[in-house]
Amino acid sequence: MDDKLFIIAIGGTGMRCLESFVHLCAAGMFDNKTIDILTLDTDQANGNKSRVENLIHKYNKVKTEGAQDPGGSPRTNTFFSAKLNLYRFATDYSSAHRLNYRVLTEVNSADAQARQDNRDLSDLFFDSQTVQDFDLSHGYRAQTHLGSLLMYHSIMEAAIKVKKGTEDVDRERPLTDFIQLINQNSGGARVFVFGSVFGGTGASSIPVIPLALKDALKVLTTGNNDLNLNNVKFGSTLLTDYFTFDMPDEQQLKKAKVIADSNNFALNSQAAMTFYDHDITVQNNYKMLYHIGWSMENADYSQDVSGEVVTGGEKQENACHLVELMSASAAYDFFTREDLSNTKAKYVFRSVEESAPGTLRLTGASFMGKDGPIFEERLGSLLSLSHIILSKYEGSRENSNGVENFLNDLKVRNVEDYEDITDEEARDISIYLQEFAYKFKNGKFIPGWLHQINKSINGSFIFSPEALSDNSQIISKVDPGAIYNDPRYHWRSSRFAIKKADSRFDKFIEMIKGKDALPNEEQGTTQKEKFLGHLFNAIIKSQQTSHLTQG
Amino acid sequence: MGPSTSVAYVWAIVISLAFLLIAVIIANLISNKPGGKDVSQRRVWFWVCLVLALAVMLTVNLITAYGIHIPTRHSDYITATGLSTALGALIYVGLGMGLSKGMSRSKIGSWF
Repeated sequence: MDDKLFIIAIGGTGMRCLESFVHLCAAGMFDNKTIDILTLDTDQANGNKSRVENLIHKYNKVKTEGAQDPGGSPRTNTFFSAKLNLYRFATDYSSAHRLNYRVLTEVNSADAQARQDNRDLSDLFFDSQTVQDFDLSHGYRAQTHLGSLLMYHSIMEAAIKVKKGTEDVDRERPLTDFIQLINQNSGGARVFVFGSVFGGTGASSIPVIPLALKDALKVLTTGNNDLNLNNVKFGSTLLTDYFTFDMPDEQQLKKAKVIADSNNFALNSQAAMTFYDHDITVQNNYKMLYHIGWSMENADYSQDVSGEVVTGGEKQENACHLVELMSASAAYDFFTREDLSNTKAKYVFRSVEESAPGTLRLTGASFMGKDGPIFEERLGSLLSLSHIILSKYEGSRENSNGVENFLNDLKVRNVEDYEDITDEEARDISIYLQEFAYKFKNGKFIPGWLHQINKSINGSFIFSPEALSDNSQIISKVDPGAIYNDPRYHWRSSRFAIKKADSRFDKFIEMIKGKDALPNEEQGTTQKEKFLGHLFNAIIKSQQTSHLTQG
Repeated sequence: MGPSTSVAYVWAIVISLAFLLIAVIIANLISNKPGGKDVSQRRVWFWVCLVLALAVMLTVNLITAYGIHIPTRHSDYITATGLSTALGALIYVGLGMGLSKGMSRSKIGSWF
């Protein structure tokens, strides 16, 4: 039997890696899988966290058909094929008695001798003027020595609270439900952890997560259950620095006490690599660790309207980056890898080809190895669908409904199979595609996930520059049938057609109207699922050459 | 002597079928476009082909009638021209509708 799949996304970078992962699910990279996802952060209001949780909500709205089937069912060979279940947990550093390390650990509450011992011990490990006193509600601010301790503490505290059952446990319940679900599948489960090794929350949590979950389960089951880490297999990325932000000014630093300094990220990464290379606990608890790095100029995440460095909170909503897609691809490798019987962690990496020094040449294989052709085909199909809906059917404006326009168009052509799809359901699909590709808000171009990824690349991606242009004139006239750099994968057109783009679209609509692209039962049973399966088939069958035969 | 009135009917049938074939070709030459503009174009071309078919039927049959010098036969042929044109129109529209409904998902499905 296949292993049950779990994802844990930690911290701002972890959330953005999860964003890439969700879009891979939307492209149909995880056929017939149910994936349980835990978002874990110290920062309840973090903009990246809210963004990915909203994205999963939108994904599930696309898959949901009626109240009796929230989130739909796992499907095969179609868009949105995986079923995603979201669990959310954020550590509680909101109240005055939990605001920083000093008050949280109550080092001042014991008798005089114990207080002195506590102070001495804390002072030995944590700077008493800064690290013990900074506001934890925006994360661990690259203080991983503190963060690991506090994240372990938070998970254990949540388990103890739920086990006691004497207080309101709405905040903690999703975490313990997630741990219990891993326990229920302890015969065969794979847990992939997204996070960076150079920042705060993710870097603090990756080393302790397997152990913290294992110990929390013991608390929840009064010691009756223990996670066998040979059956519950953990994998993670060792994601080193790839972004930077402005240094805070003196005033902001004085006020916040500690702010992560991006100038130290490279040093943090180097120290973390040494740690991960030597730490026996990590080596024993993880099966796979994926080295992911960035050799080009780091992305600049300083943007803040007020000019201040954003330490966290709802303002922290950074653009997506190629390395996050690489991280999501690492999760794909971990979930599809056949042999995970190794007892010590395996460290793996993959190099990306350069067409010239400093210029990347990215193909599907750069991300997915031997499954590169599948990746190219499926991601490209979702991009084609986005252009059909957003460009051809004018679904890119914020309040427009491109899928509804498309369905009405099919009705005019006597394709009435999808009459029961409501305008609201059609809008859910349109909105998701806007998140994936792009939208216009008040006439301004807002790049979606794939455009943001493309912008972070210096070099060639799988798709043509026109297909990922941010010029409104170009993007509104983009040909959904000619999005690849390699023309072999363009859609078929009539040999004698003067306007190839018109001919390609014509043949695509004929494919929809014909019988060759009709969906099968594995692709879906509800009208919405059949509609998505139908589009998936039509787009793939429209290509002159299959990626799979070329791959 | 001259051609019998059945010739007028044969012409009408042949011309209506020929123009129906032309309408099918035109319908298939018009590419699908977002917004359904192509659907109305095909519909317009279907009726344009009917008008052209009727014009050609009348022209051919009137030229044929012009060569008939026996007044009764000439008169019979003129009557047959009118009736055959109506029959041609009926065949064109009837067959067109049948084809359109029978192949509603094809491009000629746009006609009705």
